[in-house]
Amino acid sequence: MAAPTIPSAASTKKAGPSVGQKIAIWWTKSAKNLDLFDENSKEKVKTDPWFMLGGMALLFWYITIATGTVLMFYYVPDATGPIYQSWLSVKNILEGESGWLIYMTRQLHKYGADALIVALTLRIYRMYFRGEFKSYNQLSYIATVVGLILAMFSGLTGYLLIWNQRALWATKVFATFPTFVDSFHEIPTIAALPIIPDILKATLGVAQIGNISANYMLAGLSIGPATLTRFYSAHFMLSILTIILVEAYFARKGKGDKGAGGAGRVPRINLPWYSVVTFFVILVLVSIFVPVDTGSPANYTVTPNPILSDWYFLGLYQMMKLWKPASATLQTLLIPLIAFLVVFLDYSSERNPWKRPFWTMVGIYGLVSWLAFSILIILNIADIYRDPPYIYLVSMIMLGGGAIWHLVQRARNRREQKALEAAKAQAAVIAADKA
Amino acid sequence: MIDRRTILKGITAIPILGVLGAVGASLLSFLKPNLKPLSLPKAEVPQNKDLTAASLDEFPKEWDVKAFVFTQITPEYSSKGTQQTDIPGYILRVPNILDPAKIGDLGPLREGYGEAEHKGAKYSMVVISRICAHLGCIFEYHTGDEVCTGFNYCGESVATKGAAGHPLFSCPCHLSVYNPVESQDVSGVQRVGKVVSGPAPRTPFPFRFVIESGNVVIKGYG
Repeated sequence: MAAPTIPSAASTKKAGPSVGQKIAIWWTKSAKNLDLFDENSKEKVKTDPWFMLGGMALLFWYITIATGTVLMFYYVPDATGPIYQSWLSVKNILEGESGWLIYMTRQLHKYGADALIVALTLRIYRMYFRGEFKSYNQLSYIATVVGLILAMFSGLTGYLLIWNQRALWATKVFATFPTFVDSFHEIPTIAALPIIPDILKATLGVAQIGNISANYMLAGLSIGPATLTRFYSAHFMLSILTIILVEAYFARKGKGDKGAGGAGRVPRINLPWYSVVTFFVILVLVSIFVPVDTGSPANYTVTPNPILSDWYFLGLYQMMKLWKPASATLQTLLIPLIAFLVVFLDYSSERNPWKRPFWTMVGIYGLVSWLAFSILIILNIADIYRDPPYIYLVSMIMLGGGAIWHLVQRARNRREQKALEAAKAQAAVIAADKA
Repeated sequence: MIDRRTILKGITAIPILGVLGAVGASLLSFLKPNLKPLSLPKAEVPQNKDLTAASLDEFPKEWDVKAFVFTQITPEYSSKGTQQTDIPGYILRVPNILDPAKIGDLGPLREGYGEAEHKGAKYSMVVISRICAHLGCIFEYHTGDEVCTGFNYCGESVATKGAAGHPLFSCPCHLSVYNPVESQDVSGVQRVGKVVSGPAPRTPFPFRFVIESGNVVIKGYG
């Protein structure tokens, strides 16, 4: 065997790929590893129930799409007063006037969608805490986060269709908060900085992106029949376009025969058949025993007290109480951005969550604050003068403590590594002596 | 050399691109910028009619309140060419400001505030929209004590101010509280309904109104 050639000076000069090449390599490898619904873990799913989450998400999504298609035949998208046909048609479905089967379809549609959001959230946390996004798997994680955001948008556009009080006011709040993007320069912390507020004022403040997007969402200056039409079509579009992309992905992935080196047919729902049956039965039981409330019809002149949004937005809703609107809007937009960025910032190859404690604490912090805020709003506890210091304190302890722990842990990792290397070197010396 | 396959693919791409372009272009037209709130250009001036919202006889006592709904009609890209927006508002009789011994210094109240003599009594009226300046929920009229227990603000409760305490406007969504007899500078204009607690960034928008022969007539919004 020929000895490997020693690289010449000319070739060592261009050591390492350029940034563009790195991105290209990252993209190629990540795209190859892409795993949307845990379909790559055919064996793992048999031993580790956490890997059922991907299959569950797809199963519940299929159920939601199928039931939604049926419900289209019974729903009347009409929000012209004084009697709202949209509210009435949903009420009729839920009171069983179209038959028990349609009632069940509606129940399955709602709880299927909720289950989809739960499955996606848990899958994101599983990937995050287990470090599954490492070594060119960030794209699978990002795809799941995007999926969750789309699912939440579907939920938001979906529950306006009922045209009840909760829907109207949740949509009102959701469509108004982007308008504060235009006044980011007024956030005290940012206003104290040099130059940056002027830049923000000249860009975001002038472009009025917030107002334009609110106008775009509502189809006008306020919620009305045109908004309902827009949300109705968006509600389909989100699922239909995404399912087309997902099916294209599966079709591409399953290209070629198995014998000829191709992947063969890729199973979509990667679950054993008895799990599919079990999850479906659970969903049906929940749908039978937990009836959904239609609520009172929308009323433009009264906001009920208290008023809550759908469960996955409760945490954000509480946050809106505690902070001035511009900074609350900024934080709302930062949450998904941070969710995307963490997988790149946590670049070490360490997968064990306790060996990268800061990032673990960031994940726990997100989960704890979401749960705590949701519980607080359900209990109707909000004292805007008493609460913020406690929230800052908990944040500082969790994130600061996590950072210190991280540094300590890294030093320990390094020490262990050194000790290991020293032991190895010693062993080599002893071996050489013996020889 | 271009082969036959490429040409065929190119030809099929034309209708697809055409459809995408048509859909995209029509979607883009919706991105019409919404100008600064309420500073509408000449062509978009609201076309609403005057609304006689209340008679002063409905307010025998100070702090009497009446809710009303004003329909604002604005030009809009729709089948009717207009969009109707229902804007709920409050008409509130407040203590006469010219009597500082009774209620203290209230500062200069400007927009959303009017005074009139009616049947030998002096009426000081505040007329503002009920749309919360925070995220657009509809706020309510609560006593100082209700605001103290439910909305984090005890400045006007019986415990703090005794008999001088008075009702306030408070929003159920995110707990903003407005004081109807204090004013606040909003872009250089003094407006009634100062934000005394909560996340709201400014006062609610006032109505333009006149008091004609004992009636409160709403002329416009904003």
